Amino acid sequence: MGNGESFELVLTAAQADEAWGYERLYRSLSPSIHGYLRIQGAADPEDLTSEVFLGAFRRIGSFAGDEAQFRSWVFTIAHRRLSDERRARGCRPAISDAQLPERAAGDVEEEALRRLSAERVRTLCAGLAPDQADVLLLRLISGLTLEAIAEVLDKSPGAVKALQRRGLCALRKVFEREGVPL
Amino acid sequence: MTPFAEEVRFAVSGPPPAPTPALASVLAGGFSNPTEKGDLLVTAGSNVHGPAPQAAGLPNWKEETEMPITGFFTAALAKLAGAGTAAKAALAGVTAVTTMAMAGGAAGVLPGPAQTLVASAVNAATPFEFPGAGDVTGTVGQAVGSVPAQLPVPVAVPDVPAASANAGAKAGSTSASASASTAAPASTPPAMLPSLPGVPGVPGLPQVTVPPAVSNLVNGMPACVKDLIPAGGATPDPTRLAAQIPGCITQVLGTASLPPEVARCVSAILGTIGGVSGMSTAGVPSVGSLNVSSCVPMDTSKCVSAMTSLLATTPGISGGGVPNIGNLPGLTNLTGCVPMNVTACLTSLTSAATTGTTGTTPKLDLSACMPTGLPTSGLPGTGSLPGLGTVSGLSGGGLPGLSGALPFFGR
Repeated sequence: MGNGESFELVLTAAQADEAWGYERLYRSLSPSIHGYLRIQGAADPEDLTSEVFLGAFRRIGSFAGDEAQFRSWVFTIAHRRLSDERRARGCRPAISDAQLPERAAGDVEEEALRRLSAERVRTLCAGLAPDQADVLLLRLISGLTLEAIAEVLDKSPGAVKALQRRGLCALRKVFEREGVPL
Repeated sequence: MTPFAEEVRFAVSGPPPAPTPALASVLAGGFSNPTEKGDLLVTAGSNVHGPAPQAAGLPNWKEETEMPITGFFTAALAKLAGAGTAAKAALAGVTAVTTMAMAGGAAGVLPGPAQTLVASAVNAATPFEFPGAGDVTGTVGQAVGSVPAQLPVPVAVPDVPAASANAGAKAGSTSASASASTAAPASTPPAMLPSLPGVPGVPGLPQVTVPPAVSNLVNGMPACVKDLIPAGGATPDPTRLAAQIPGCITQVLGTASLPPEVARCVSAILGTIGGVSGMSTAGVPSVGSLNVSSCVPMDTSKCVSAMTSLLATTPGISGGGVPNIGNLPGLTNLTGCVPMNVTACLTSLTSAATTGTTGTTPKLDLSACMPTGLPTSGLPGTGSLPGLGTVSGLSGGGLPGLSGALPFFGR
């Protein structure tokens, strides 16, 4: 948490329905949640991010744990929401990021680069198995441990470790093929 | 993997995304103090103008029949099925006496002496102000328009002792009751309650005293009312009660020579009670047809509102199981219909019946069943009815013949 505020203080405030507690948690976690959802190809990552935090805030009274556990908890919600959206999208046409209207941003150039990066990452992940992409993205974006990722994905730590290894091998082959120095 | 990791971290960097209005509301004021109501932006565009009309129109719902007043009383009395026979008999007696006295008396249409009797008794017992015999003409003129010059049936009315100094004060505005008070001695010793029948095998019941107002009220009723409790120590038989009540109603109405409107009101109320006990209900009107305007003691709007509310919240009465009295909601609100604290009365009677089944001394406190405002000193109280635990049929589980006599309990 920024501004020298301890996570416990912020969590207690949010559990007491204090708006500033919600705001600190959202400011701290929403960029990575939003990025994860965007790279994973959510139809409307901004709306889905808001839904994730609304769901988390509604149930925050039942949460107990430290900051890492809270991060893992929110990513679990995000991943399940994403899975729900993917299932629902099976019956509907997908909307790509390019079709969404551009939203105003503070730095247009940086936002454009960010979109290009996201598109590049998405292309790279397209060559991976979905589970491998999930593990690698969660590892890099959320900073969760393998055990925490295992909980998010509802898999065993061993399986997550294997998925990570196979995903990295697949990426290495791609980079070697493109001549990108590793 | 460094290029990939850097690519990913750059892609997810940046400021927090703009929250949706719903989340923005929470971020601004929390859940308990949202800054806006709902999230209208998620409403589907196709629903903006409301749901599309159905081609087939609304379904043809079966028209609901109005629940007759018998249903209300049946539901209420079905709750009492778990209570003992003695409790039912006591409640039926109190209800009958109270209803008859209040309905006819307050309407100001009873024959002169009877009106005086009822007025003095009720004025002594309740905070209501009732017209005496001297005020009958005006009251009847407003209520029914005409009064028979001669009473068709001579009425034998016992002497009316003064109820109390308090009663005289309350009845001061009614000339007849005031004169009745002045004609009688200033203070009258408490009258004796009609002796209760002895029960074989149990000690004799002690004599208890009741205030003059109550004694007069009971004595003023035809003997059939008192005969509802059988003499000779027998347990009140519901079947016999069902046979007695119709005749008693007829007798009371005939004695009082009530105008048709009031008679219809009284018979409706008493017929309902009787109908629950197995009487014919053919002539019992429903709520809609009941001329409650003739039932002056009722706070009509409050009573009907209470009944409606009660019916809406009363659990379904199944034939298989009768819920506990404690589950009957809203009985307190029936004070608009019955001039007594119904809940306290039921609780007292149920408690006495329940205690009786355990073999311990029942705590029968009839003071709770008296009209509101009645002085309770001298009424039979705690422990004054020893040995009732051995009375057969007092158990709520065993009510011989009651199920056959209560045809509407399964409704």
